[in-house]
Amino acid sequence: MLASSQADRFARQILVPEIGARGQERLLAAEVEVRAEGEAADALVAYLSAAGVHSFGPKAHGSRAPAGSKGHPRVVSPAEAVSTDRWILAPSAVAWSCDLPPCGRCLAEVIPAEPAPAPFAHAVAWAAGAALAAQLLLLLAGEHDPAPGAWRFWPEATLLPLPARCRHG
Amino acid sequence: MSGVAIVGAGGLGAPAALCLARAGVPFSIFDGDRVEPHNLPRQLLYRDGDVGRPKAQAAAGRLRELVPGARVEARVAFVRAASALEPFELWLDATDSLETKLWLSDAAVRRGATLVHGGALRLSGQALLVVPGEGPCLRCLLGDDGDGLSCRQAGVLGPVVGLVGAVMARLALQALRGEAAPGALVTVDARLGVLRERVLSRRRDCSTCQEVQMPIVRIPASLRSFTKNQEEVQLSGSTVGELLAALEKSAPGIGARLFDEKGGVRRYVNIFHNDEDIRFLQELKTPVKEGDKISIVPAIAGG
Repeated sequence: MLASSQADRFARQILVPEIGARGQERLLAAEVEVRAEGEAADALVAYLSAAGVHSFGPKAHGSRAPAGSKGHPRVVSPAEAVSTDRWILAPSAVAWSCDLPPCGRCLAEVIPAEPAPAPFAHAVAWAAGAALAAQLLLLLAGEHDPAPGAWRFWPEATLLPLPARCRHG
Repeated sequence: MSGVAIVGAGGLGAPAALCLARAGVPFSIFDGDRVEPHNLPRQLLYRDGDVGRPKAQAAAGRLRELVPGARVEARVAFVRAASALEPFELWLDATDSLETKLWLSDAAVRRGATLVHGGALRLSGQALLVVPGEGPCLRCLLGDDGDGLSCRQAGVLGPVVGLVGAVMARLALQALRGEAAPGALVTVDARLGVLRERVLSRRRDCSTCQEVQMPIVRIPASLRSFTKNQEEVQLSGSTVGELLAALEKSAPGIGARLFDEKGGVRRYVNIFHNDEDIRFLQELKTPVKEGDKISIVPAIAGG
């Protein structure tokens, strides 16, 4: 059961049918470790934490879970790493979710080679972090499995085609 | 007009403000609300200690902390009259009421200010660039229906509104650099995993765009008794002659003062198309287009 202060604080997102009170309880019990740095990762950690998820990044806590961790946080790692989990945050321009074990080479094939130029980079990074946070919150709330896909925010906002299967083994 | 105004320091305005501050853009941020606990999951500029403080003030303070040298002016006020935004060339609509959004879009179109609209509800949202005279307005997208759900009623997920705020900042930066397409529309649906950008066209029957685009006929003081004292009348027509015929329909009797028995313009009446006498153009067949101004100037008698 949510405390009344929690119900008040998270009122707007509890109203979203895909979250609801049950989903909010799951978010409050969830942990996420973000193994990435930069503005996109900062936005990701900030939105997850603000939504009630116990989340932490390497900047604040190092790469290990902080004291009091429940043990098995979901890992969100940068695109360069080949992760064993389902989520990848590419540097600055793309948020990616994939049901397959994500492969950095698969992602490298679809993301644009050049990053957003200087004045736009901040907005693009924030958008990528926020988009991934939204997908992750839906997943953690448990009512909805988001569709896999890569979202690009520069030079225009678009959904990038991902290979149906990882081609790199 | 110069400068940028962000209207609303909530879930859309806070990330848009942060992205613009980081990009080095100075702006004023308007909000008359105070920070409440239920704002904190999506309005990331505020912390628990800010509850009860005016949002505009708390936002400006936090932005200066996060972005040293940020040029942010806090306006602790709701925007209730468009005159408050008159000094600004670019407005960001980060409000949370469909009625206010449509009002802001109408005001921007009438005043010729560029507007970046943003809106989000539940798991979806959109951002639209409105460049008056060059592309569609918010009514072209949504129609005239001012009734709709707000986040207060339907809820919203923090990062969805944050994503739209960041896209608004991108559109604003592009508009400031003259790189944006008027009518650029970004739609997002986090549940379906849909993200799309396209250029929206003006809706032919949009009441606001039509009103602004119709040519204006300026009426001299001596003829205003026919127009119920109106100095300007907006009419539709493709030539000066058609406009003046439409004027006679809306202000019966005025035509006899303008035209002689043969239907030509009376000698002592001068008609200007923008700043040019139509005698030196194509007389009554002079074509008119959206936004043109036709002035009726009676010749002054004397000797």
